[in-house]
Amino acid sequence: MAEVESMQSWIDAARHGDEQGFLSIYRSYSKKVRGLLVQLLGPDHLDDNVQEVFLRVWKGLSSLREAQALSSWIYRTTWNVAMDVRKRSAKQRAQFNQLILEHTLAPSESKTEASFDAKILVEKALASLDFEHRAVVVLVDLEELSIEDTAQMMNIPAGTVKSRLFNARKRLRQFLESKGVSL
Amino acid sequence: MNHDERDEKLVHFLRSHRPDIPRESHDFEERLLNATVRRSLSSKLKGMLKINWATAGALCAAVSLTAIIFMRPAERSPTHTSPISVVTQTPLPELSEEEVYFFISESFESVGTPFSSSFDAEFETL
Repeated sequence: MAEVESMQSWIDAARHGDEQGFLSIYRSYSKKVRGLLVQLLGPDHLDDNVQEVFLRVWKGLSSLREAQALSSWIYRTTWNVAMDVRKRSAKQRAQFNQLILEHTLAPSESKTEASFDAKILVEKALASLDFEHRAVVVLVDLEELSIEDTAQMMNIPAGTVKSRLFNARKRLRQFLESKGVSL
Repeated sequence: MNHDERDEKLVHFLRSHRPDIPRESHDFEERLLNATVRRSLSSKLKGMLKINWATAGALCAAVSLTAIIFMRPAERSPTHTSPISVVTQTPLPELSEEEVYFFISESFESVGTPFSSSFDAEFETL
């Protein structure tokens, strides 16, 4: 991640309409944002969702006071975009989750699942969780945010984050063990 | 294995095999910059429309107010009306019988209809 000084200069440049300043911010955070969005929403429309995040970033740069806050602010913006997309496509998501579950829990696959690519297994395990539990696992376990930061971002109490995390891990473990992964 | 160790093992497994992130399209940065320009223009246009609606509203209010203040009460009364337009009619010139006959026969012949001799005779008896 870039240092605070260069970050501040990019922010100042971007505020004055400098494309390179804005692109520097984008290049510094695009991987993080893409990673978070793909884990929360899946790979569909990823480019469009990333674009929406950075359009909001670009629009809101003038109101950002400290360069140090940029990172958490971009995370927060990404979360907000994910929530908006989720609300918009509630129906499609239900169909997608059902499809994933049917695919994942098909009895004919149970024996061969252990040899399945572990990445796909993790993807399916995450998809088997509901959005609230998946979000907590993604933010805390995969993105390594603290419980407090996650609670602030999701606008829920820290205790709720902990209980969701506990339940989500339990379900993930059960899912993975049922597919032959010993944990 | 205690609970924390099990959690640690699970988290390690998840992190080691986290889903792949699809690569961005090759022209993504260009598209993003174009989108920022479009959104900027859109915001400016919205701002201008807001100002114009306010201006139009103020103008309408000013015109209405002026009309109310300066219109005389008599003009506003429905009993006092003035003609919108006056059509002036020039009186036809007085013609003698011969002139009327000539005018009619000429008119008939000009449209290809011969003036009837019987009608001619009847005209003479009048």
